[in-house]
Amino acid sequence: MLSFQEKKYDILNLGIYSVVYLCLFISFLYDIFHVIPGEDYFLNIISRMTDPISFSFVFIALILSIYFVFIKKKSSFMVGIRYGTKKKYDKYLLKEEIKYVNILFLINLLKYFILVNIFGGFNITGIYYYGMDIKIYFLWIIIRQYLLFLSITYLFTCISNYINKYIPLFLSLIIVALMLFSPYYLNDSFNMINLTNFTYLVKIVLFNSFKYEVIYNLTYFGILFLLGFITYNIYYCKKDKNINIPFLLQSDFYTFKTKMKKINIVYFLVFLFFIISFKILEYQSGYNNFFIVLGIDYSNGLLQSINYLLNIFYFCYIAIYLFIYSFSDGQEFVMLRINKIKWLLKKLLNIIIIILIVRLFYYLFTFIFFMDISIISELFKYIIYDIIYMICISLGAIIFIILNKIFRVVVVLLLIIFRKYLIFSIVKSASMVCLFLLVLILFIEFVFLLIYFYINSNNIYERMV
Amino acid sequence: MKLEIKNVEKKFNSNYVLNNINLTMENGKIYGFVGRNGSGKTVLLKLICGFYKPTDGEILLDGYNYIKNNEYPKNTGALIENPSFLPYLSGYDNLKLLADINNQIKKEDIDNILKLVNLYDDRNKIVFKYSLGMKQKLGIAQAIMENQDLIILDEPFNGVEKESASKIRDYLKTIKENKIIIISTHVSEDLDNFVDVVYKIEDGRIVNE
Repeated sequence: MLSFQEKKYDILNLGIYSVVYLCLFISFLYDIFHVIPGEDYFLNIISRMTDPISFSFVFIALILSIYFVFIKKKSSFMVGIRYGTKKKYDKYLLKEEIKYVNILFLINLLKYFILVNIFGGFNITGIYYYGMDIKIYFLWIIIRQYLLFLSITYLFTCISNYINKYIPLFLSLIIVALMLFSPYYLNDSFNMINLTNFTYLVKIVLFNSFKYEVIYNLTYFGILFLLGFITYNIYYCKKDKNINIPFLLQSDFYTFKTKMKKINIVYFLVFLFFIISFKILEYQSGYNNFFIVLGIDYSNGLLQSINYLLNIFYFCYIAIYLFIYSFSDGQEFVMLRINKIKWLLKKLLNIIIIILIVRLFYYLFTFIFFMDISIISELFKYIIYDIIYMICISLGAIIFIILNKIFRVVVVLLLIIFRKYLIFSIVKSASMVCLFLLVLILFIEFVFLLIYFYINSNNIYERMV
Repeated sequence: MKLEIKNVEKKFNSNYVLNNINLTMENGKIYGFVGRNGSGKTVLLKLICGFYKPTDGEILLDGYNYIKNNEYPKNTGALIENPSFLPYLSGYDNLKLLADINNQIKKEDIDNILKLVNLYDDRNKIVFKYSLGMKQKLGIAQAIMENQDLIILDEPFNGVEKESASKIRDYLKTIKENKIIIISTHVSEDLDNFVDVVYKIEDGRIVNE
């Protein structure tokens, strides 16, 4: 234990941390060429601290140092085992990481002072920001950067615990890439909170007032802390709470989480691709992008149509997979305990719940990504149409799967004939008539499924198995 | 209680898996089906459970053709192939959730059944950490825990150690009074001194009793 304590501050030694120092050194080199000699002393430091390219290297150094501490300490299980519970050990790890991050932060701060003292000169001209002295604003920039360091450390630790340790590293690299390229694709709409616009946090952006800037930044850090907190607690949520959730529902969630893991990740990555590419291509955020990304407005181009169809495919896949899997997964003992119709109703309800949660997650994700408060009322209007539409399509897919070959041909013919009524842009068709028709279709599908399943359940079971 | 299987045939595509099966099973007896892999035992059990529909013939429970009416046999417990439990929950929690579907039994009953299958000490261990044999024992436990009238066990002793298997056999013998218990296996020794009637199945036919 003593030797372990002695090595607590080995970040000051070289070794694996040489990569961290290399990143800081690259950032230092970059800053040498961008320091303006004769410029105000504090302004020079602020401008170096808030340069997105320079900060990207600092960010990499930060992530790597957290990563190294995490990996090193995590592997020393003889220490971990002395903490009794994994949760306590995680808290200890977080404290250790914060210690390292503090040192890194101080070294980085020192770097700026050395840089500006050598290459910029000590020249105070008395600049004002938001009507206050630059020294106060300088203090705010330091606090802001420290908060960013802390929130990233917390988030990294929470996510690392939950998923593969390499994923946070990979995500961090994406963040760095976004940070490096964000000046090229993001506009300067200062009245919106934009999660992908990291430049707000690292470059000088004057908001309407200092108060607004502080609120904006604290909101941002709050979201990062909240994300970490939620992830951490999901990981450690007490298993005995599950005892109150019905077996069939848990089983379906488990199937969705584990057996459909690959397709879920692929869909998420494709969704990320679309969300980023629409943002870059459209060069703006707001109404149009929001609905195109979610695949409910397809009529604007090839990419949008592909995204629209992809969404439909994904939700149909969820529905079909969950339905079929219950037959092939040895769940006969559940079926024997309930009436067939009750089983079907519960199954359909579970599928609807899962579709609803997944769809809402993507709505929330897109909303956080664009963070455009002005479209909230529009959003609530379309979300109902969209979710009912997705459920209709998914139930339709289940009906198609359980039908015999002859009926399937009939359904395909009907789909071809009525295709223009089935594939439509919800944004353009949202009306009370449309809502009424969707609900009517949903009702018909439900009734059809119940009757058909009641008559043919044995045949369906055989076909599915 | 009386289970009648009359002239039952089952074919998948053009292959007959079961051929002209005629059986009558009555209360208070344990019935065993022995046959090599692929002989049709599991299909027959699934037919009895009402998961499959016979291509021809009928299955009656107390004279009632439940399959024709798209129902499962009432008050039936079954273990067919590999049971699919929730791996992140303990063995006890899995049984509790299943028992909650019909709300027929209490906590003590679950504990007792876990003691019977020698899983009581591991009741709080998550199923993911269970061995194959332990999962099988849990499968047997769920099939018999609610005092069902018809108990169907397909290869129940696969991977189960001798001591537990013997204990379960003894228990089944004690509870058979008002029940029909059906057990299938490919190892005839599993049924020795245990079942009342043994049927041998070969290529989808009952070849002897």
